[in-house]
Amino acid sequence: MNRVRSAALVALALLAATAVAMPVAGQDLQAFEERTTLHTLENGWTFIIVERPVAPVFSFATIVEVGAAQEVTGITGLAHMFEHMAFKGTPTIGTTDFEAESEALAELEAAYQAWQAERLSRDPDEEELAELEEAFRQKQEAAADYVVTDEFSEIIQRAGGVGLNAFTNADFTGYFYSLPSNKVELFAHLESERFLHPVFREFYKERDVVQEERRLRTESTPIGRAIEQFVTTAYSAHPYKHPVVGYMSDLQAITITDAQEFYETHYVPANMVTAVVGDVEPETLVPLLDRYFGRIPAGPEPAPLRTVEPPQGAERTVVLKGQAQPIYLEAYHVGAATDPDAAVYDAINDILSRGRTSRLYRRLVRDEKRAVNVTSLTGFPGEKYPGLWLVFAIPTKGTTNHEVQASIREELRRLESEPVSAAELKKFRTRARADLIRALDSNQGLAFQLATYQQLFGDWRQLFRRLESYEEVTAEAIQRVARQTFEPANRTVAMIVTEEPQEAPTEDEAGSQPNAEDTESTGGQG
Amino acid sequence: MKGFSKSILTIATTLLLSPAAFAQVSTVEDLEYPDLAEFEIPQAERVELENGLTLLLLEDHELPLIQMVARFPAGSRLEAPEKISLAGLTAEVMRTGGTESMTGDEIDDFLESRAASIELDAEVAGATANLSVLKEDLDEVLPIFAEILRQPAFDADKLEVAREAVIADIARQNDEPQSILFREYAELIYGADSPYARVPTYATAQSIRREDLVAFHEAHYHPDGMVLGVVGDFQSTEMLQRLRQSFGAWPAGPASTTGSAETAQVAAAPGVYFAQKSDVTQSSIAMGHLGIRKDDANFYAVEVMNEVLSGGFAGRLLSNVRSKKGLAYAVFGGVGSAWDHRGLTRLFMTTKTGTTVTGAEALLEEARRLTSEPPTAEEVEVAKESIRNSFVFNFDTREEILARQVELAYFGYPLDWLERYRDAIEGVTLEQVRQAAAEYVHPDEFRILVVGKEEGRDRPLGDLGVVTPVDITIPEPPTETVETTAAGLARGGELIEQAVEAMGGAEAIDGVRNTRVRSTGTVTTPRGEITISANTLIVYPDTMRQEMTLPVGTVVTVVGPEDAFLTAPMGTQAMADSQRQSIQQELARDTLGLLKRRRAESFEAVAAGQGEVDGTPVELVVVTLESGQVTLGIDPATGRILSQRFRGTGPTGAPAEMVKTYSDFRTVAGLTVPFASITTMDGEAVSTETMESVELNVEVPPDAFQRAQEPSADS
Repeated sequence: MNRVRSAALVALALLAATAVAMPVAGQDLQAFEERTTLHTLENGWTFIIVERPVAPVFSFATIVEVGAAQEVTGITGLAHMFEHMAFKGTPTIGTTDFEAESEALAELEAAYQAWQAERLSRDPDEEELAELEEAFRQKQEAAADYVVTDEFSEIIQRAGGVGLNAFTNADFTGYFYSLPSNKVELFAHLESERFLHPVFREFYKERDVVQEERRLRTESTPIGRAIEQFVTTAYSAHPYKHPVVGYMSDLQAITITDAQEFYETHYVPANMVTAVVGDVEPETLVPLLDRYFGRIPAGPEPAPLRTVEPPQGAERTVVLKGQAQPIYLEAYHVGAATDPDAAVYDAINDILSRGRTSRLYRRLVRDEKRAVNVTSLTGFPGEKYPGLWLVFAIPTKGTTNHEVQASIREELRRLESEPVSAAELKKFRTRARADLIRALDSNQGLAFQLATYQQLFGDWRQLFRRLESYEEVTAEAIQRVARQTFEPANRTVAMIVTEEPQEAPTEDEAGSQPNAEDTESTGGQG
Repeated sequence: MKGFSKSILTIATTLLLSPAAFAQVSTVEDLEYPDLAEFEIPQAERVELENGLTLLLLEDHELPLIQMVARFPAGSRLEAPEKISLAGLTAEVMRTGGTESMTGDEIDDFLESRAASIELDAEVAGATANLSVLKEDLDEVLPIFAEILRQPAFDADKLEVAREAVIADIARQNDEPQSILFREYAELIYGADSPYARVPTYATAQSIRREDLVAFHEAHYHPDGMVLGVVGDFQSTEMLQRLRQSFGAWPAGPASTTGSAETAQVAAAPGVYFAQKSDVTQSSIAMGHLGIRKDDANFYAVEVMNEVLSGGFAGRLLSNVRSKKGLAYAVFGGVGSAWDHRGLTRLFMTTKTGTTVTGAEALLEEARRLTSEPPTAEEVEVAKESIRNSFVFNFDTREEILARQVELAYFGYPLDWLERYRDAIEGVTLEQVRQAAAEYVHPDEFRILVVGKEEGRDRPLGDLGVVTPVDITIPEPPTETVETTAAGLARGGELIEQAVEAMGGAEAIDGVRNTRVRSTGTVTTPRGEITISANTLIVYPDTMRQEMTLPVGTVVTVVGPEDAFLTAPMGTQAMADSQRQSIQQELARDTLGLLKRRRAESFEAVAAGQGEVDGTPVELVVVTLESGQVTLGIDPATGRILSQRFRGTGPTGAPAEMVKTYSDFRTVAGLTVPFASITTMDGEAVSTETMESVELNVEVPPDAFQRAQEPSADS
């Protein structure tokens, strides 16, 4: 184990140097470092342990280096589907008889594959299709007989676990919850078991659940539809273009076999980082981690992604007409989180859209009353690979998207033509530092951030070093970055335009994107 | 810690079968947990000031931060019905509209440059004010916090900024299916006028003036009734002194009230309610009835029952409806409770349109199973164990401890309520849980609300019960008023008299009791133009029967003072209020109907300038009827009404401008009426109508306005 208790890091030294402005902060951050342990198992799984014994509880977050960006068409949505399956239990949890269940699951998969092969064939035979489907349904019923539904979750809740959940985004898959501190061994047991031998029981029922999730978050909400169309337009080659939840046709076709293969490729210990924060002692926790998580065999790291998004070259516009009030969004391609200019974008976001003193708020909300909300952010849909900087606005009633656009464009031009003020830069740094102090207040939030930073930068300390890079952001750098970024040929615009209902959208069983007919997507209008 | 024979058995078996040195446990049951470290629950110090202000202080020296949480009896329950959103606007503009010593913009700059925040908000039962500041800035920021609460300036322009947000919310209230569902569901259970369900309209938002905010602040923001909590890196004695400085001299106001806590009436009868939203692929479903107050004698048994039903991932709803049936991603529910009024009992899910009724039935089944297959001893034990073991998470941060204690003090509950809660949960028996299920969940009284589309549904909603459509039309902004001058009124009156003469004179008009019109027309729909023929019987002033022959069959519409319904080939259904209103408005606007109303008390006609209809110059007359306004275009040469313009509603609920122009005037039994008309919506033609015959004072069949004897069916 590799305990970080050495002298303060450069970043922290720098923070201490700025202690004139915020004397207490420097001390606390240094103290934080002393409470932190980094431990990497032989198989490659990395743990970050932070002692924060304010209450007899702890939280953890496991961040896996696999997201929707690791998918290709045909299996879109699989990273997220696997996340759901990671709640289905193990050979000892969630079953009444694992041996019999394994056989039933194998038969179920064979029946499904047979049905699907016929269904996707060039000229499916209706009668045979019905028979094959019926055979599949029977196997599904048979396998369900062995299932103890949601036992994995029940064990955690019964032990007092709270905040049990998981997420998948374009970059990562994350799993997290909190437990009373006397249950650390339960954490070690469950969290190693679920990735040591996941069982894909109730797979095809859960696939229905995920389809419902797609309908809920994407298809049945105007913003969800707009975001999907927007991302798919902003990217032309990189997998960031695919919706994280997946296309409906893929959600109706991914199989247990696909999930197994995906798991074997990506859920290798070298791809896993877990942060544990709270009332825990490394002396007792580390041996448990070795014992439980050490069981998982090392595997080869998956091959890196090959595709790099080519320069955009032409402005793109998405107009989604629908039964909803206008929403305006525009975005520009920028670098990844590791890009040297990442700090500059953080400064731009702070100055443009954070709070009531920000430029966009004062102009569009306070003075012009053209919007009720304007937000800008970086790192969408992800930040592991080059992502998008975007700004979106909710227009006031009666204001058009184009009026909002004109105001936003002027503010972007101002960023290019005039240096930002020293007061704005100072405010940006002050708020970033205060954010960090406030972040130290939550076990779960901290675990999540530390594990994510470890994955993104290879070092959790980047969470603190970020502040150092903020000290170096200058007004000139902001002008330079604004000029190179806010170029028409680097821009994608998306908007919702109110329209009376067309024919009610029908759910295409074949799974093409709903509402595609309501969307215009044009390239080359630079 | 354990207590299940199953686990003991497993441990015994493991001990017998495994070598003692085997460090790796193979099942969860084998795990042994040390006792949880003794944990003293931090208690806030409570101090009452002479002016009635209750202070709660809790030190927390982990980080150099200070937070304050205040609650005032200034919630939206106290708003007058015509001033909905006043409490929220008051809170927001207290924060943004400046104080006696600083403008709102200066306060924004001051706070944000220190990474500090002060935010106010109004909930139904009270308003909240929150402050978060780095310890070193407290001295500068606290006086501003006190000024915002005590001497807000309510800058008029900041009210406009806040009003825009309210108006934008109103305009967007039907954009997302869930916002429709939760809003309309509360309305079904509490009643549309209830403070727990009512929503602002453009009219209420526009009626609020700066003086209203000043008066609301004056009436409801006082130290008595206020609870202020502080948590963070401070010394209590010193903090107490500062708070006395900031708030001690604030005089007590009139006796405070948090507003009526009653949930007076239940609005809608049990049954099925449907709100149409066509741009979705799912139905959103909510069902239930009124819930309870947290001081209900059986509250704790209800809490355990809720845990059995919907406690996280392992509750019955998620296991059965989601994991086993795959019908939903989102599904949850329970008997709702609130501190000082009855909460909402609600089961909720979203499911694809093709499983709408199947999904609703699955939810209903779970509600019924609470009594038909009541919670088992094991389910109750699991629920209690979850509550017991997770109890420590109520105390894992001092901010949440303090915030909860402020809430408890505000609502008059003991500060150790949560500790009592834990003990009371421990004491809940299986029998009590079963009784709670029987006493507090009544599936037969459920109001079931479905938001979604009809097309592609698995089965008719009528399978669940009698279906009533829910009107989600957004009420229009108040129409612009024409200045009522004496001259305008006089000219308006003259033009109406001219129109009466042009139609055939007062006697002829007043002598019409009813009309029967046969007509054909076209209507433009998203699927193209369709042709309609209609036979319309109007009995003045307010009753109509219309038989329309459409490509899909005949639809009969009946609107009268007592009933309003539609009969289509699929069956008969009650008409949505919005449809009924819009037809009644149409009856009143119809040129003959309008002129027959000219002597009504509310009737007012004001000349409003010049216009043109298809090249003919007209004079415009704004006519106010009981049901709304319409602008007539009257040809001064002939006295004929050539057009009418009015605000109508488009299919999204958004207001639209409708214009109907008349031509082909013919005389029938002494009455000169138009035989052709064209209607446009926002400038686009949407329908045309041509009369084939017009009859006056026909014999009215006795059953013309009654429902046919058919079983009711789903829309």
